Amino acid sequence: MKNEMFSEGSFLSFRIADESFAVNVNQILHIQDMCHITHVPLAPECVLGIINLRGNALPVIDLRKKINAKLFPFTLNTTIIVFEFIIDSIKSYLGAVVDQVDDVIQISKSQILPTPDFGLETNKSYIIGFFHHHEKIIMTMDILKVFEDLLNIETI
Amino acid sequence: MKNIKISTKLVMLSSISIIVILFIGLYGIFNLKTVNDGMTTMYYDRVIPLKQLKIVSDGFAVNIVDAAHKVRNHSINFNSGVRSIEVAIKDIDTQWKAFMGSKMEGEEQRLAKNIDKELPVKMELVNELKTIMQQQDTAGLVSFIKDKLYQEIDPLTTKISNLVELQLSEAEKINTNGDEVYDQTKINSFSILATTFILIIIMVIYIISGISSSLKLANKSIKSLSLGDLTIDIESDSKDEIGVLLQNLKTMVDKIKEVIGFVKNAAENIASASQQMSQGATEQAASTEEVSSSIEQMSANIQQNADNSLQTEKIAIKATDDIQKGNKAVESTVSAMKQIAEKIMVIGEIARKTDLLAINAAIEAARAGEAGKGFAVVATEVRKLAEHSQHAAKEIDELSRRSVEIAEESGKLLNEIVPDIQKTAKLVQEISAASAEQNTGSNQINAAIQQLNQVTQENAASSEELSSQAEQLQESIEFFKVAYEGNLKKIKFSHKNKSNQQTSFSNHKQNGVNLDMNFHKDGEFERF
Repeated sequence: MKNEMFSEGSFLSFRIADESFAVNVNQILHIQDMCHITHVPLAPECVLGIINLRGNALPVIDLRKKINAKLFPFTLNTTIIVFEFIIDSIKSYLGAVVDQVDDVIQISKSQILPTPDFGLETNKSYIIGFFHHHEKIIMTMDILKVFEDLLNIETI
Repeated sequence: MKNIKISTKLVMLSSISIIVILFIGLYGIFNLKTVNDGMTTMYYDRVIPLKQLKIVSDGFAVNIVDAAHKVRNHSINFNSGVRSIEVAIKDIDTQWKAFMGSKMEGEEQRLAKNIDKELPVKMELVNELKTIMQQQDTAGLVSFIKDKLYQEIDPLTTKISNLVELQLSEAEKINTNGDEVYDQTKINSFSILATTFILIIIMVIYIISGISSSLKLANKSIKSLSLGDLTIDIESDSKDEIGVLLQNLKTMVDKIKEVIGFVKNAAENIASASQQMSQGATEQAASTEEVSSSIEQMSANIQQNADNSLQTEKIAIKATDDIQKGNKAVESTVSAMKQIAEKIMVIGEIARKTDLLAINAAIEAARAGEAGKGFAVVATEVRKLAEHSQHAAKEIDELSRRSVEIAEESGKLLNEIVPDIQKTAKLVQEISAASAEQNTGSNQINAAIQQLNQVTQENAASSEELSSQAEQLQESIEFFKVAYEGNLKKIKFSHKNKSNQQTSFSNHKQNGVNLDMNFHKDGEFERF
């Protein structure tokens, strides 16, 4: 199970609106400051545009929009996380805008709380689990699942 | 009679005199006319008939009888006798006819008619005598004289004599009547004159006594008045001119009493008021002295104020300069602070970027697994440092922003203070000017107070003089004796017909002080 592969180890925690999320560092290439985003016409609503990443065009998605979170205006803390996916041995990259990046956290399996049943299949699919960290509940996210539809479009 | 005016009385008197004179005159004229009528009657009805009768009688007695005798005695010739008889016939005829033409009545008429009846028969005889003489019949003449002349002619002569007697008696009657009228008139006139004289004398005495008594009363009143005695009670029940005069005099006395009462009261009031005034003036003088000293003190205070305000003005100007300098300092502080803030922002940016790099490093280390563990620790440390510097930069930024705000606020405040201070300076200048004006004003007030003091002293002197004059006035007015209320002196002046009616003084409510005022001595008093 891929999900289990990313369910423990080092996680990068970040914030969208008032909530904290975490993604396994193995899915992340790096993070970078907000920069100029070139708008692409006819792109899906959550796609903000493209940026230059080491000479290649990197599509940037507003993760907040993608997960239907509350939209705050961009600040100095607004950061782009560059995700790295390996699908069928092909590496692909995708930028996602979050409100703030917090920290790199080590999480053991014992810390992870079981996922409650929301009664909604889709939501449950990309939230892998929950854990406590500094009096906060952080949701661990399978980013591949989040961008599944977009990545499929890309691959087709 | 008391209510009749003197003029009316005099008119009445003269009217009575005139009426009586007229009456007596008319009465005399009427009686004189009666007497005159009697005289006329006597002349025309008695004296002339007497003459006529005498001629007729003479005609018979002298011309006829005498001529016949003379002719018989040859004293005259026949022709002369005829002529004498012709003259006699003519005269008798004429005179008798004239006599018969006159007015006759009663006995006279009867006698005359009797004679008139006989006369033609007698005239026949005379004509017979005349014929005898014309014929110069001496024998016929003698026989005629002897038989007829005396028998026939004499009775007629007697009758004519009777008629003459009657005329005389009638004339005597008329004379007696005239005497009676005279006597009557004399008596009547004397009695009327006497009565009228007595009446007029009585009236004159009445009128004169009335006027004289009224005048005496008036004179007495005026004399008392001239001596200043106002306690007199003038009473007159007469309504004539002097009565009116007395009434007016009474009114005048009442009025004078009233006026004197007023004057007396006024004099007392003036005396007390002037004394009060004098006292007041003295107090006022003291007060003005106090005020004067107060004003001098005030003047000194004002001077001090002026000095102080000048000094304050200088200080204010200096403060303005200092504040402008301070403001400039604040402005440079603000700009310096802003520069610091910019620099700090750069530091903050660096720290943030460092943080980002540290997270990337951490991610790299995590991905490296066991091999990146050491690196992960370093990255964490770097991250901590970066976060520290970020915090510090944020704090500095906050501090500098607050400092800028404070500095700007103080600059603003200083800028606000400047016009206030300038205004203060201006106000102080105004205060200084006002102080100068006050100084002049206080000097003027001082001068005015000095003048006031002088005036007050003059007032005091004047009020003292007024007081003495009021006393003099009181003394002067004591000349008039005005009766005390309840103790009225009653002087009874009465008219000719004394009435016991008494009228008390309607005195004004004054304490009847006997005032004595010599009008003729107070030459300086003006009369209005």
